[in-house]
Amino acid sequence: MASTQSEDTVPVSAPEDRRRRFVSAAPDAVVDEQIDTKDPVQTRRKRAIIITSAMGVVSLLCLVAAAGFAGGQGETSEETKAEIFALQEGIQLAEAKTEALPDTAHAERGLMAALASADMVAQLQNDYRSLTPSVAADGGALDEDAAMSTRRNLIPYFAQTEDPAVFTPWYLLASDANVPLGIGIPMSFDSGFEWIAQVPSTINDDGTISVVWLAVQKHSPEGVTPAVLAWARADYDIIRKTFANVEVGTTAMGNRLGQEVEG
Amino acid sequence: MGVADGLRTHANKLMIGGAAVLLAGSVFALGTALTTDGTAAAEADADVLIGQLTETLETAEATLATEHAKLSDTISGADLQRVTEDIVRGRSVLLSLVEPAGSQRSLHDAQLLLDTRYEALTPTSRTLTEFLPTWYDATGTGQGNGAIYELTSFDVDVTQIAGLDYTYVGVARLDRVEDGNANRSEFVLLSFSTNADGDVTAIDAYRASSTTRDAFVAAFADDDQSTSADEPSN
Repeated sequence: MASTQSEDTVPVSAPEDRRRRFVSAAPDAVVDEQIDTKDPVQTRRKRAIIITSAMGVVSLLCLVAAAGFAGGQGETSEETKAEIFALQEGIQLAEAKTEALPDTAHAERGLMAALASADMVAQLQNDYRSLTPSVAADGGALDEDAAMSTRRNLIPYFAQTEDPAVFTPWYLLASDANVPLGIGIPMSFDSGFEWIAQVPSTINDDGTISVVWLAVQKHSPEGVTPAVLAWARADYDIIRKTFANVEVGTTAMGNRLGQEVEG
Repeated sequence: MGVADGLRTHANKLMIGGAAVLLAGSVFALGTALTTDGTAAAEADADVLIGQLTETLETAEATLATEHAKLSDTISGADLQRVTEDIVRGRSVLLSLVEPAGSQRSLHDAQLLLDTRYEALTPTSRTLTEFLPTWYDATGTGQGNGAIYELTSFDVDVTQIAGLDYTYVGVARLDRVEDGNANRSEFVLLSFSTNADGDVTAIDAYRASSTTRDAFVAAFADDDQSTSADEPSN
């Protein structure tokens, strides 16, 4: 500094310096000030970016999950499943039956066997008729000893799954109780009805032959067909050579005129 | 400058708003995917499968019918087509026997009607003189209670083929329509014959006894619950 400067002169540079310092320090100061003054805006911007990003990530996850789940839980109803199963079963059954259909020779032999067996069963059931007097006298009880041989002879004609009731008398006529036993052998018993086997000459598509037995009145008024008092039906299996699915029934008239047999 | 400024000013709202819309859409998509579980697509696939299986079944059954008919023809000359038609005739006969009671027609009128309609029936036929009155009594028609019965099953077997005459025996189950109650069932044994012209040449109907009826109903009820063979009944 020039010493010649008087003390009166205020160094002009001071404020300028300050100003300059202010000025030179301005950028930092300004930035600081800007951060300070515009801080809330910047913060909000940052916050908005964070929120947006978070939402974006969650959206992305949801879309991925949605894509993953869509179509993955397809289920059909119970009825649809049942329908499909039934159709498949039907196909298997039809194919199995076709496969198992006997050839002509087997079928013919089977028919002859069915006829012979059905006639035998009718004959054996007819043998039971001569027991009617004793059954009536015993109040419906069947004499087991007397019935023994007929029962034993019936058994081989039926499938083992059949109810034992199949081997007991299918029907007895009450009025037979008064018929004299004659010479004691079943065939000479003059019963009021008889079992007749009906065997068709056709075979079912499952290889069985359906047989019907009818218990028919022996005597009936002129011009009137003899009444059916009872009936029985069964399916003859040509391979096993036995009757199965036996069904026995009495008609209303048959029941009225029938002799009850206990167990 | 104006738009840019505007965007800048509302930038935050735009960002958050846009993201919110996107999020809402995604959540909705996820919810839909979870709840609808693609049943429609699966059912459509099932329908196609059912269509294919049905066709296969029809073919299999047709093959069986053809083979069976060939066999029948060879061993007995039985015309299975005719048997099928005859069973339909038998069903119609049965229904015309039981229907008058349901329609409140008097017994006498019913007997006249059936006698006229079927040559096989005459005034002395048991079907008219015994079956019809029995049927009217059993179904309570006499007391003005003309109940309607529907045929729920008709199990027919061919029992005889004599030349061109076919004879059948069938067991029919008739259920009372009103209550659909098993206790109001009746069974009828029907024997009938047909000739080559399709005429019914013999008709014999018998009502099954109540004892038999009860036994059959019980046996069929058991069958519904298990797959055991039919129980014989006396």
